Amino acid sequence: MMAARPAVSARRVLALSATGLAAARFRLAVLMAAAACLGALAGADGSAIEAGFWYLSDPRGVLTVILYAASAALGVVSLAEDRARAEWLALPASPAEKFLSTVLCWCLIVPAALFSLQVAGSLLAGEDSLRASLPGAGPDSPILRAVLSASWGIPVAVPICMSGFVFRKNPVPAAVFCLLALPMAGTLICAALAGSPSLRELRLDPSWNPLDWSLLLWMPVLEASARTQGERIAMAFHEWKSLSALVVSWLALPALSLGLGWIGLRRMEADHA
Amino acid sequence: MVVMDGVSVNYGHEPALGGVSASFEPGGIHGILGPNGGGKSTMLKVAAGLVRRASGSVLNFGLDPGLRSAESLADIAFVPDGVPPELGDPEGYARHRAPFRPAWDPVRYRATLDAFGIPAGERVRSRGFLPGGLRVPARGSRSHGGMKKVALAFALACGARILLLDEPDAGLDAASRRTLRSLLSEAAAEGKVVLLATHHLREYDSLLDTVTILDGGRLALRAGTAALSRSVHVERRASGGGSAPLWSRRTAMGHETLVAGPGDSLDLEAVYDAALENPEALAAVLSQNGGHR
Repeated sequence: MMAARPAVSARRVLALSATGLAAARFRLAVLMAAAACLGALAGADGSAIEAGFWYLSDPRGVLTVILYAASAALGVVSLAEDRARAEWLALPASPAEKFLSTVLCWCLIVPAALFSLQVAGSLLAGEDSLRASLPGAGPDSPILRAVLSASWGIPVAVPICMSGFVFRKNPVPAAVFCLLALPMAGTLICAALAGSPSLRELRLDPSWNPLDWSLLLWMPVLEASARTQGERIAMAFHEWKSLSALVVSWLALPALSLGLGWIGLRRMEADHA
Repeated sequence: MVVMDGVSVNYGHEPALGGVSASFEPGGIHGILGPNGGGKSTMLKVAAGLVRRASGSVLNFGLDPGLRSAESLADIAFVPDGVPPELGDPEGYARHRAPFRPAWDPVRYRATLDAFGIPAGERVRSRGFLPGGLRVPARGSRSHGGMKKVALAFALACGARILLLDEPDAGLDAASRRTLRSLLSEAAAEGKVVLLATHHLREYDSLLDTVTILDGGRLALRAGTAALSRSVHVERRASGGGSAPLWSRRTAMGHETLVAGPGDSLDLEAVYDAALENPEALAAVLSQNGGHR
Protein backbone atom coordinates (compact mmCIF):
# COMPACT_ATOMS: atom_id res chain seq x y z
CA MET A 1 0.00 0.00 0.00
CA MET A 2 1.44 3.34 -0.98
CA ALA A 3 1.65 6.13 1.56
CA ALA A 4 -0.87 8.92 1.06
CA ARG A 5 0.64 12.00 -0.52
CA PRO A 6 -0.56 15.59 -0.27
CA ALA A 7 -2.99 16.79 -2.97
CA VAL A 8 -0.70 19.69 -3.85
CA SER A 9 2.98 19.33 -3.18
CA ALA A 10 5.25 22.35 -3.65
CA ARG A 11 8.09 19.99 -4.48
CA ARG A 12 6.14 18.42 -7.32
CA VAL A 13 5.03 21.83 -8.60
CA LEU A 14 8.66 22.97 -8.73
CA ALA A 15 9.72 19.71 -10.32
CA LEU A 16 7.03 20.10 -12.98
CA SER A 17 8.19 23.65 -13.68
CA ALA A 18 11.76 22.45 -14.04
CA THR A 19 10.59 19.73 -16.42
CA GLY A 20 8.77 22.27 -18.56
CA LEU A 21 11.75 24.61 -18.66
CA ALA A 22 14.10 21.77 -19.50
CA ALA A 23 11.88 20.59 -22.34
CA ALA A 24 11.97 24.05 -23.94
CA ARG A 25 15.52 24.99 -23.06
CA PHE A 26 16.70 25.59 -26.61
CA ARG A 27 13.73 27.79 -27.50
CA LEU A 28 14.08 29.58 -24.19
CA ALA A 29 17.74 30.26 -24.84
CA VAL A 30 16.79 31.99 -28.10
CA LEU A 31 14.27 34.16 -26.28
CA MET A 32 16.75 35.00 -23.54
CA ALA A 33 19.32 36.05 -26.10
CA ALA A 34 16.71 38.19 -27.84
CA ALA A 35 15.81 39.87 -24.53
CA ALA A 36 19.44 40.65 -23.77
CA CYS A 37 20.00 42.05 -27.27
CA LEU A 38 16.89 44.19 -27.01
CA GLY A 39 18.11 45.64 -23.73
CA ALA A 40 21.54 46.30 -25.19
CA LEU A 41 20.02 48.05 -28.20
CA ALA A 42 17.94 50.27 -25.97
CA GLY A 43 20.89 51.04 -23.71
CA ALA A 44 23.26 51.76 -26.56
CA ASP A 45 21.32 54.79 -27.78
CA GLY A 46 20.76 56.11 -24.28
CA SER A 47 17.03 55.63 -24.13
CA ALA A 48 17.11 52.35 -22.23
CA ILE A 49 14.28 51.50 -19.92
CA GLU A 50 13.40 55.12 -19.45
CA ALA A 51 11.76 55.24 -22.85
CA GLY A 52 12.47 52.42 -25.20
CA PHE A 53 10.52 49.65 -23.56
CA TRP A 54 7.12 51.21 -23.46
CA TYR A 55 6.58 53.72 -26.18
CA LEU A 56 4.47 52.44 -28.99
CA SER A 57 6.33 54.77 -31.27
CA ASP A 58 9.46 52.77 -30.53
CA PRO A 59 9.49 49.42 -32.28
CA ARG A 60 11.46 48.02 -29.35
CA GLY A 61 8.36 48.40 -27.19
CA VAL A 62 6.38 46.26 -29.61
CA LEU A 63 9.26 43.80 -29.83
CA THR A 64 9.26 43.49 -26.07
CA VAL A 65 5.57 42.65 -26.04
CA ILE A 66 6.15 40.05 -28.72
CA LEU A 67 9.02 38.64 -26.65
CA TYR A 68 6.79 38.18 -23.61
CA ALA A 69 4.07 36.75 -25.78
CA ALA A 70 6.53 34.29 -27.31
CA SER A 71 7.71 33.15 -23.89
CA ALA A 72 4.17 32.25 -22.88
CA ALA A 73 3.54 30.74 -26.29
CA LEU A 74 6.26 28.17 -25.55
CA GLY A 75 3.88 26.60 -23.07
CA VAL A 76 1.14 26.60 -25.70
CA VAL A 77 3.40 25.01 -28.30
CA SER A 78 4.43 22.25 -25.94
CA LEU A 79 0.81 21.33 -25.31
CA ALA A 80 -0.25 21.47 -28.94
CA GLU A 81 1.66 18.30 -29.79
CA ASP A 82 -0.32 15.13 -29.06
CA ARG A 83 2.67 13.14 -27.86
CA ALA A 84 3.96 15.89 -25.62
CA ARG A 85 0.51 16.53 -24.19
CA ALA A 86 0.02 12.85 -23.41
CA GLU A 87 3.41 12.64 -21.75
CA TRP A 88 2.74 15.73 -19.67
CA LEU A 89 -0.63 14.42 -18.57
CA ALA A 90 0.92 11.08 -17.68
CA LEU A 91 3.42 12.65 -15.28
CA PRO A 92 2.46 11.56 -11.77
CA ALA A 93 1.14 14.85 -10.43
CA SER A 94 -2.37 16.10 -9.76
CA PRO A 95 -4.17 18.45 -12.21
CA ALA A 96 -3.87 21.30 -9.68
CA GLU A 97 -0.10 20.82 -9.51
CA LYS A 98 0.16 20.85 -13.28
CA PHE A 99 -1.89 24.03 -13.47
CA LEU A 100 0.15 25.78 -10.79
CA SER A 101 3.42 24.77 -12.38
CA THR A 102 2.26 26.19 -15.72
CA VAL A 103 1.32 29.51 -14.14
CA LEU A 104 4.55 29.65 -12.17
CA CYS A 105 6.77 28.73 -15.05
CA TRP A 106 5.36 30.46 -18.12
CA CYS A 107 3.50 33.36 -16.55
CA LEU A 108 5.91 34.42 -13.83
CA ILE A 109 9.39 32.97 -13.93
CA VAL A 110 10.05 33.24 -17.65
CA PRO A 111 8.71 36.82 -18.16
CA ALA A 112 10.65 37.95 -15.07
CA ALA A 113 13.80 36.32 -16.38
CA LEU A 114 13.36 37.97 -19.77
CA PHE A 115 12.95 41.35 -18.18
CA SER A 116 16.03 40.85 -16.02
CA LEU A 117 18.01 40.12 -19.13
CA GLN A 118 16.68 43.23 -20.82
CA VAL A 119 17.83 45.34 -17.89
CA ALA A 120 21.17 43.57 -17.77
CA GLY A 121 21.65 44.11 -21.48
CA SER A 122 20.85 47.77 -21.10
CA LEU A 123 23.32 48.22 -18.24
CA LEU A 124 26.06 46.38 -20.08
CA ALA A 125 25.54 48.68 -23.03
CA GLY A 126 26.49 51.64 -20.87
CA GLU A 127 23.19 53.04 -19.70
CA ASP A 128 23.69 54.34 -16.18
CA SER A 129 20.43 56.13 -15.51
CA LEU A 130 19.15 53.06 -13.69
CA ARG A 131 22.04 53.13 -11.21
CA ALA A 132 21.80 56.90 -10.77
CA SER A 133 18.20 56.63 -9.70
CA LEU A 134 18.72 54.02 -6.99
CA PRO A 135 18.58 56.38 -3.94
CA GLY A 136 15.05 57.55 -4.67
CA ALA A 137 12.32 55.63 -6.42
CA GLY A 138 9.68 58.27 -7.05
CA PRO A 139 7.37 58.39 -10.04
CA ASP A 140 10.20 59.65 -12.20
CA SER A 141 12.40 56.82 -11.16
CA PRO A 142 13.48 54.52 -13.95
CA ILE A 143 13.40 51.75 -11.36
CA LEU A 144 9.69 52.20 -10.78
CA ARG A 145 9.10 52.51 -14.47
CA ALA A 146 11.18 49.45 -15.09
CA VAL A 147 9.21 47.41 -12.58
CA LEU A 148 5.93 48.54 -14.08
CA SER A 149 7.28 47.88 -17.51
CA ALA A 150 8.18 44.36 -16.47
CA SER A 151 4.84 43.78 -14.86
CA TRP A 152 2.96 44.06 -18.08
CA GLY A 153 4.81 41.03 -19.26
CA ILE A 154 2.58 39.16 -16.87
CA PRO A 155 -0.82 40.33 -18.18
CA VAL A 156 0.46 39.44 -21.62
CA ALA A 157 1.93 36.10 -20.65
CA VAL A 158 -0.90 34.79 -18.48
CA PRO A 159 -3.70 34.82 -21.09
CA ILE A 160 -1.44 33.48 -23.81
CA CYS A 161 -0.24 30.65 -21.66
CA MET A 162 -3.76 29.81 -20.55
CA SER A 163 -4.94 29.83 -24.15
CA GLY A 164 -2.92 26.64 -24.50
CA PHE A 165 -5.48 24.95 -22.30
CA VAL A 166 -8.50 26.72 -23.74
CA PHE A 167 -7.66 26.08 -27.41
CA ARG A 168 -5.76 22.88 -26.77
CA LYS A 169 -6.70 21.10 -29.99
CA ASN A 170 -7.26 24.11 -32.20
CA PRO A 171 -3.90 25.65 -32.98
CA VAL A 172 -5.27 28.20 -35.47
CA PRO A 173 -7.48 30.19 -33.07
CA ALA A 174 -4.82 29.80 -30.40
CA ALA A 175 -2.20 31.24 -32.73
CA VAL A 176 -4.46 34.18 -33.70
CA PHE A 177 -5.25 34.75 -30.06
CA CYS A 178 -1.60 34.68 -29.08
CA LEU A 179 0.01 36.52 -31.93
CA LEU A 180 -2.47 39.31 -32.51
CA ALA A 181 -5.01 40.01 -29.83
CA LEU A 182 -3.06 39.67 -26.66
CA PRO A 183 0.24 41.31 -27.60
CA MET A 184 -1.85 44.19 -28.88
CA ALA A 185 -3.75 44.30 -25.63
CA GLY A 186 -0.51 44.17 -23.70
CA THR A 187 0.87 47.04 -25.73
CA LEU A 188 -2.21 49.07 -24.97
CA ILE A 189 -2.01 48.26 -21.30
CA CYS A 190 1.55 49.46 -21.33
CA ALA A 191 0.64 52.62 -23.13
CA ALA A 192 -2.27 53.23 -20.77
CA LEU A 193 0.01 53.07 -17.76
CA ALA A 194 2.66 55.23 -19.26
CA GLY A 195 0.11 57.79 -20.33
CA SER A 196 1.91 58.20 -23.57
CA PRO A 197 1.65 58.29 -26.47
CA SER A 198 -1.83 59.65 -26.90
CA LEU A 199 -4.17 56.79 -27.51
CA ARG A 200 -6.68 59.28 -28.81
CA GLU A 201 -4.21 60.07 -31.55
CA LEU A 202 -3.45 56.43 -31.95
CA ARG A 203 -7.09 55.72 -32.69
CA LEU A 204 -7.01 58.34 -35.42
CA ASP A 205 -3.88 56.96 -36.93
CA PRO A 206 -4.91 55.08 -40.08
CA SER A 207 -1.95 52.73 -39.73
CA TRP A 208 -3.66 51.10 -36.73
CA ASN A 209 -7.01 50.58 -38.42
CA PRO A 210 -6.57 46.83 -38.99
CA LEU A 211 -6.38 46.39 -35.25
CA ASP A 212 -9.40 48.52 -34.41
CA TRP A 213 -11.30 45.49 -33.16
CA SER A 214 -8.59 44.98 -30.60
CA LEU A 215 -8.75 48.63 -29.58
CA LEU A 216 -12.48 48.32 -29.06
CA LEU A 217 -11.85 45.49 -26.69
CA TRP A 218 -9.71 47.80 -24.64
CA MET A 219 -11.91 50.87 -24.73
CA PRO A 220 -11.84 51.41 -20.95
CA VAL A 221 -8.07 51.49 -21.09
CA LEU A 222 -8.12 53.88 -24.02
CA GLU A 223 -10.47 56.25 -22.30
CA ALA A 224 -8.47 56.19 -19.12
CA SER A 225 -5.29 56.79 -21.01
CA ALA A 226 -6.75 59.66 -22.98
CA ARG A 227 -7.70 61.41 -19.75
CA THR A 228 -4.28 60.98 -18.30
CA GLN A 229 -2.28 61.83 -21.34
CA GLY A 230 1.00 63.36 -20.39
CA GLU A 231 0.58 62.65 -16.71
CA ARG A 232 2.93 60.55 -14.76
CA ILE A 233 2.10 57.07 -13.59
CA ALA A 234 1.62 58.09 -9.99
CA MET A 235 -1.00 60.62 -10.97
CA ALA A 236 -2.81 58.07 -13.03
CA PHE A 237 -3.58 56.08 -9.92
CA HIS A 238 -5.66 58.98 -8.62
CA GLU A 239 -7.92 58.89 -11.62
CA TRP A 240 -10.84 56.61 -11.00
CA LYS A 241 -11.00 55.58 -14.63
CA SER A 242 -7.32 54.89 -14.71
CA LEU A 243 -7.66 52.83 -11.61
CA SER A 244 -10.51 50.88 -13.11
CA ALA A 245 -8.45 50.39 -16.24
CA LEU A 246 -5.62 49.13 -14.12
CA VAL A 247 -7.90 46.73 -12.32
CA VAL A 248 -9.32 45.49 -15.58
CA SER A 249 -6.01 45.07 -17.31
CA TRP A 250 -3.81 43.95 -14.44
CA LEU A 251 -6.20 41.87 -12.40
CA ALA A 252 -9.34 41.00 -14.32
CA LEU A 253 -7.71 39.83 -17.53
CA PRO A 254 -5.20 37.52 -15.85
CA ALA A 255 -7.84 36.32 -13.40
CA LEU A 256 -10.28 35.59 -16.20
CA SER A 257 -7.54 33.85 -18.14
CA LEU A 258 -6.57 31.76 -15.15
CA GLY A 259 -10.17 30.73 -14.66
CA LEU A 260 -10.59 29.82 -18.31
CA GLY A 261 -7.23 28.04 -18.24
CA TRP A 262 -8.28 25.92 -15.29
CA ILE A 263 -11.52 24.96 -17.03
CA GLY A 264 -9.55 24.20 -20.19
CA LEU A 265 -7.09 22.04 -18.29
CA ARG A 266 -9.89 20.01 -16.72
CA ARG A 267 -11.49 19.55 -20.13
CA MET A 268 -8.14 18.49 -21.52
CA GLU A 269 -7.84 15.98 -18.69
CA ALA A 270 -11.34 14.74 -19.46
CA ASP A 271 -10.49 14.34 -23.14
CA HIS A 272 -7.78 11.93 -22.14
CA ALA A 273 -9.56 10.03 -19.42
CA MET B 1 -3.74 -5.95 -10.78
CA VAL B 2 -5.33 -4.30 -13.81
CA VAL B 3 -9.03 -4.95 -14.26
CA MET B 4 -10.95 -3.74 -17.30
CA ASP B 5 -14.67 -4.22 -17.45
CA GLY B 6 -16.67 -3.55 -20.59
CA VAL B 7 -14.33 -0.84 -21.81
CA SER B 8 -15.37 0.97 -24.99
CA VAL B 9 -13.43 3.77 -26.60
CA ASN B 10 -14.36 5.88 -29.61
CA TYR B 11 -12.10 8.15 -31.63
CA GLY B 12 -14.66 10.60 -32.94
CA HIS B 13 -17.36 8.37 -34.36
CA GLU B 14 -14.95 5.50 -34.98
CA PRO B 15 -15.02 2.75 -32.35
CA ALA B 16 -11.51 1.78 -31.26
CA LEU B 17 -12.44 -0.64 -28.48
CA GLY B 18 -15.79 -2.31 -28.07
CA GLY B 19 -16.75 -3.64 -24.66
CA VAL B 20 -13.43 -5.24 -23.79
CA SER B 21 -13.16 -6.99 -20.44
CA ALA B 22 -9.91 -8.44 -19.17
CA SER B 23 -7.89 -8.70 -16.02
CA PHE B 24 -4.12 -8.87 -15.72
CA GLU B 25 -2.55 -10.43 -12.68
CA PRO B 26 0.63 -9.22 -10.97
CA GLY B 27 3.70 -11.32 -11.60
CA GLY B 28 2.78 -12.00 -15.21
CA ILE B 29 3.74 -10.85 -18.66
CA HIS B 30 0.63 -10.27 -20.67
CA GLY B 31 0.77 -9.95 -24.43
CA ILE B 32 -1.65 -7.68 -26.25
CA LEU B 33 -1.69 -8.85 -29.84
CA GLY B 34 -3.59 -7.92 -32.95
CA PRO B 35 -3.33 -6.45 -36.41
CA ASN B 36 -2.63 -2.77 -37.04
CA GLY B 37 -5.60 -0.76 -35.86
CA GLY B 38 -6.82 -3.65 -33.75
CA GLY B 39 -6.90 -1.60 -30.55
CA LYS B 40 -3.66 -2.65 -28.84
CA SER B 41 -2.28 0.83 -28.23
CA THR B 42 -5.71 2.09 -27.23
CA MET B 43 -6.00 -0.67 -24.66
CA LEU B 44 -2.66 0.32 -23.15
CA LYS B 45 -3.65 3.98 -23.14
CA VAL B 46 -6.88 3.09 -21.38
CA ALA B 47 -4.87 1.33 -18.68
CA ALA B 48 -2.61 4.39 -18.47
CA GLY B 49 -5.62 6.71 -18.14
CA LEU B 50 -4.71 8.56 -21.31
CA VAL B 51 -7.85 7.91 -23.29
CA ARG B 52 -11.39 8.85 -22.47
CA ARG B 53 -13.61 5.79 -22.10
CA ALA B 54 -17.03 5.85 -23.70
CA SER B 55 -18.12 3.19 -21.21
CA GLY B 56 -16.74 0.63 -18.82
CA SER B 57 -14.33 0.84 -15.95
CA VAL B 58 -10.63 0.34 -15.31
CA LEU B 59 -9.04 -0.25 -11.95
CA ASN B 60 -5.29 -0.40 -11.41
CA PHE B 61 -4.72 -1.89 -7.98
CA GLY B 62 -8.11 -0.45 -7.02
CA LEU B 63 -7.52 3.06 -8.43
CA ASP B 64 -9.16 4.48 -11.54
CA PRO B 65 -6.36 5.84 -13.76
CA GLY B 66 -8.88 8.08 -15.50
CA LEU B 67 -9.08 10.25 -12.40
CA ARG B 68 -5.38 10.88 -12.89
CA SER B 69 -4.42 11.27 -9.30
CA ALA B 70 -0.72 11.51 -8.54
CA GLU B 71 -0.92 8.22 -6.63
CA SER B 72 -2.42 6.23 -9.48
CA LEU B 73 -0.11 7.75 -12.10
CA ALA B 74 2.98 7.03 -9.99
CA ASP B 75 2.11 3.35 -10.19
CA ILE B 76 2.10 3.33 -14.00
CA ALA B 77 5.05 3.33 -16.37
CA PHE B 78 3.83 3.79 -19.93
CA VAL B 79 6.30 3.49 -22.80
CA PRO B 80 4.55 4.60 -25.99
CA ASP B 81 5.63 3.58 -29.46
CA GLY B 82 6.81 7.11 -30.23
CA VAL B 83 9.75 8.44 -28.28
CA PRO B 84 10.27 12.02 -27.06
CA PRO B 85 13.50 13.81 -27.99
CA GLU B 86 14.38 14.30 -24.31
CA LEU B 87 15.44 10.65 -24.27
CA GLY B 88 18.64 11.70 -26.02
CA ASP B 89 19.91 12.67 -22.59
CA PRO B 90 19.27 9.73 -20.23
CA GLU B 91 20.60 11.47 -17.12
CA GLY B 92 18.61 14.65 -17.80
CA TYR B 93 15.48 12.67 -18.60
CA ALA B 94 15.70 10.85 -15.29
CA ARG B 95 16.62 13.98 -13.35
CA HIS B 96 13.42 15.73 -14.39
CA ARG B 97 11.08 12.80 -14.01
CA ALA B 98 12.42 10.91 -11.01
CA PRO B 99 11.04 13.47 -8.50
CA PHE B 100 7.55 12.24 -9.36
CA ARG B 101 8.45 8.63 -8.61
CA PRO B 102 8.60 7.80 -4.90
CA ALA B 103 10.21 4.41 -5.55
CA TRP B 104 12.77 5.63 -8.09
CA ASP B 105 15.87 3.41 -8.18
CA PRO B 106 18.85 5.20 -9.78
CA VAL B 107 21.12 2.17 -9.41
CA ARG B 108 18.73 0.02 -11.36
CA TYR B 109 18.38 2.71 -14.01
CA ARG B 110 22.12 2.79 -14.54
CA ALA B 111 22.34 -0.99 -14.52
CA THR B 112 19.57 -1.27 -17.11
CA LEU B 113 21.21 1.32 -19.34
CA ASP B 114 24.45 -0.64 -19.01
CA ALA B 115 22.64 -3.83 -19.96
CA PHE B 116 21.38 -2.07 -23.09
CA GLY B 117 24.87 -0.81 -23.87
CA ILE B 118 24.27 2.88 -23.22
CA PRO B 119 27.38 4.25 -21.51
CA ALA B 120 27.18 6.62 -18.55
CA GLY B 121 27.16 10.27 -19.47
CA GLU B 122 26.40 9.68 -23.13
CA ARG B 123 24.25 12.55 -24.19
CA VAL B 124 22.83 13.25 -27.58
CA ARG B 125 21.20 16.60 -27.93
CA SER B 126 18.07 16.82 -29.99
CA ARG B 127 18.22 20.29 -31.39
CA GLY B 128 14.96 21.70 -32.53
CA PHE B 129 13.09 24.93 -32.67
CA LEU B 130 10.15 24.51 -34.97
CA PRO B 131 6.82 23.56 -33.41
CA GLY B 132 4.89 20.50 -34.42
CA GLY B 133 7.75 18.08 -33.93
CA LEU B 134 9.88 19.42 -36.78
CA ARG B 135 13.46 19.22 -35.69
CA VAL B 136 16.88 19.98 -36.99
CA PRO B 137 18.71 16.65 -37.09
CA ALA B 138 21.71 16.52 -34.80
CA ARG B 139 24.92 14.76 -35.73
CA GLY B 140 25.24 11.47 -33.92
CA SER B 141 21.65 11.58 -32.72
CA ARG B 142 20.33 8.52 -30.94
CA SER B 143 18.34 6.09 -33.05
CA HIS B 144 14.71 5.25 -32.38
CA GLY B 145 15.85 2.00 -30.79
CA GLY B 146 18.37 3.83 -28.62
CA MET B 147 15.69 6.21 -27.40
CA LYS B 148 13.41 3.28 -26.70
CA LYS B 149 16.09 1.67 -24.53
CA VAL B 150 16.27 4.78 -22.37
CA ALA B 151 12.49 4.87 -22.03
CA LEU B 152 12.43 1.18 -21.09
CA ALA B 153 15.22 1.63 -18.55
CA PHE B 154 13.30 4.46 -16.91
CA ALA B 155 10.09 2.41 -16.84
CA LEU B 156 11.87 -0.52 -15.21
CA ALA B 157 13.60 1.65 -12.60
CA CYS B 158 10.80 4.04 -11.68
CA GLY B 159 9.19 1.66 -9.21
CA ALA B 160 5.82 1.52 -10.94
CA ARG B 161 3.92 -1.71 -10.39
CA ILE B 162 2.28 -1.57 -13.81
CA LEU B 163 4.41 -1.54 -16.95
CA LEU B 164 2.55 -0.66 -20.15
CA LEU B 165 4.84 -1.19 -23.11
CA ASP B 166 3.73 -0.38 -26.64
CA GLU B 167 5.97 -2.10 -29.17
CA PRO B 168 8.87 -2.18 -26.71
CA ASP B 169 11.06 -4.09 -29.14
CA ALA B 170 10.50 -1.80 -32.12
CA GLY B 171 13.86 -0.64 -33.40
CA LEU B 172 15.86 -2.80 -30.98
CA ASP B 173 18.61 -5.03 -32.32
CA ALA B 174 18.59 -8.78 -31.65
CA ALA B 175 20.88 -8.60 -28.60
CA SER B 176 18.83 -5.80 -27.06
CA ARG B 177 15.63 -7.73 -27.61
CA ARG B 178 17.13 -10.65 -25.69
CA THR B 179 18.12 -8.26 -22.92
CA LEU B 180 14.64 -6.83 -22.88
CA ARG B 181 13.04 -10.25 -22.51
CA SER B 182 15.35 -11.02 -19.61
CA LEU B 183 14.54 -7.70 -17.91
CA LEU B 184 10.82 -8.22 -18.37
CA SER B 185 11.08 -11.66 -16.76
CA GLU B 186 12.81 -10.07 -13.77
CA ALA B 187 10.12 -7.42 -13.51
CA ALA B 188 7.38 -10.03 -13.57
CA ALA B 189 9.22 -12.07 -10.94
CA GLU B 190 9.10 -9.00 -8.69
CA GLY B 191 5.31 -9.02 -8.89
CA LYS B 192 4.82 -6.32 -11.46
CA VAL B 193 2.05 -6.38 -14.05
CA VAL B 194 3.64 -6.25 -17.49
CA LEU B 195 1.38 -5.52 -20.45
CA LEU B 196 3.10 -5.40 -23.78
CA ALA B 197 1.76 -4.89 -27.25
CA THR B 198 3.88 -6.44 -29.96
CA HIS B 199 3.90 -7.85 -33.47
CA HIS B 200 6.95 -10.04 -32.84
CA LEU B 201 5.02 -13.13 -31.86
CA ARG B 202 7.69 -15.80 -32.17
CA GLU B 203 10.04 -14.01 -29.79
CA TYR B 204 7.47 -14.11 -27.01
CA ASP B 205 6.28 -17.70 -27.37
CA SER B 206 7.93 -18.76 -24.14
CA LEU B 207 7.75 -15.46 -22.28
CA LEU B 208 4.09 -14.52 -22.17
CA ASP B 209 1.79 -15.77 -19.44
CA THR B 210 -1.40 -14.71 -21.17
CA VAL B 211 -2.33 -13.47 -24.60
CA THR B 212 -5.11 -11.04 -25.43
CA ILE B 213 -5.81 -10.84 -29.12
CA LEU B 214 -7.78 -7.87 -30.40
CA ASP B 215 -9.30 -7.56 -33.82
CA GLY B 216 -11.12 -4.42 -34.86
CA GLY B 217 -11.36 -3.33 -31.25
CA ARG B 218 -13.05 -6.56 -30.21
CA LEU B 219 -11.64 -9.32 -28.08
CA ALA B 220 -10.85 -12.22 -30.40
CA LEU B 221 -9.12 -14.39 -27.81
CA ARG B 222 -7.96 -14.23 -24.25
CA ALA B 223 -6.14 -17.20 -22.82
CA GLY B 224 -3.21 -18.30 -20.74
CA THR B 225 -0.25 -19.61 -22.71
CA ALA B 226 -0.05 -22.69 -20.50
CA ALA B 227 -3.64 -23.52 -21.33
CA LEU B 228 -2.97 -22.90 -25.00
CA SER B 229 -0.06 -25.34 -24.91
CA ARG B 230 -2.33 -27.93 -23.31
CA SER B 231 -5.08 -27.36 -25.82
CA VAL B 232 -3.61 -26.85 -29.27
CA HIS B 233 -0.49 -27.63 -31.22
CA VAL B 234 0.83 -27.26 -34.74
CA GLU B 235 1.17 -30.23 -37.05
CA ARG B 236 3.17 -30.21 -40.23
CA ARG B 237 1.76 -32.39 -42.94
CA ALA B 238 2.65 -33.15 -46.49
CA SER B 239 -0.99 -32.87 -47.55
CA GLY B 240 -4.02 -30.96 -46.32
CA GLY B 241 -5.87 -34.04 -45.00
CA GLY B 242 -6.28 -35.33 -41.44
CA SER B 243 -8.35 -34.09 -38.51
CA ALA B 244 -10.25 -30.82 -38.86
CA PRO B 245 -7.76 -28.00 -38.35
CA LEU B 246 -8.47 -24.85 -36.43
CA TRP B 247 -6.23 -23.07 -38.85
CA SER B 248 -4.12 -24.12 -41.79
CA ARG B 249 -1.37 -22.61 -43.88
CA ARG B 250 0.32 -23.83 -47.00
CA THR B 251 4.11 -23.92 -46.81
CA ALA B 252 6.89 -25.04 -49.11
CA MET B 253 6.98 -28.39 -47.27
CA GLY B 254 3.22 -28.99 -47.31
CA HIS B 255 0.76 -27.71 -44.73
CA GLU B 256 0.98 -26.34 -41.21
CA THR B 257 -2.18 -26.83 -39.26
CA LEU B 258 -3.28 -25.93 -35.77
CA VAL B 259 -5.21 -28.77 -34.22
CA ALA B 260 -6.69 -29.58 -30.84
CA GLY B 261 -4.54 -31.49 -28.39
CA PRO B 262 -1.48 -30.87 -26.24
CA GLY B 263 1.84 -30.15 -27.91
CA ASP B 264 5.49 -29.76 -27.01
CA SER B 265 5.60 -26.03 -27.51
CA LEU B 266 3.36 -23.12 -28.26
CA ASP B 267 3.34 -21.65 -31.72
CA LEU B 268 1.97 -18.21 -30.94
CA GLU B 269 1.86 -17.17 -34.57
CA ALA B 270 -0.43 -20.05 -35.45
CA VAL B 271 -2.66 -19.32 -32.47
CA TYR B 272 -2.78 -15.68 -33.48
CA ASP B 273 -3.82 -16.50 -37.03
CA ALA B 274 -6.40 -19.00 -35.80
CA ALA B 275 -7.83 -16.45 -33.38
CA LEU B 276 -8.35 -13.99 -36.20
CA GLU B 277 -9.66 -16.48 -38.75
CA ASN B 278 -11.56 -19.00 -36.67
CA PRO B 279 -12.09 -17.52 -33.19
CA GLU B 280 -15.20 -19.53 -32.28
CA ALA B 281 -13.59 -22.92 -32.94
CA LEU B 282 -10.45 -21.97 -31.03
CA ALA B 283 -12.51 -20.68 -28.12
CA ALA B 284 -14.50 -23.92 -28.04
CA VAL B 285 -11.33 -26.02 -27.84
CA LEU B 286 -9.93 -23.82 -25.11
CA SER B 287 -13.17 -23.98 -23.14
CA GLN B 288 -13.00 -27.74 -23.14
CA ASN B 289 -9.58 -27.47 -21.54
CA GLY B 290 -10.54 -24.69 -19.16
CA GLY B 291 -8.13 -22.30 -20.82
CA HIS B 292 -10.46 -19.64 -22.15
CA ARG B 293 -10.68 -16.60 -19.90
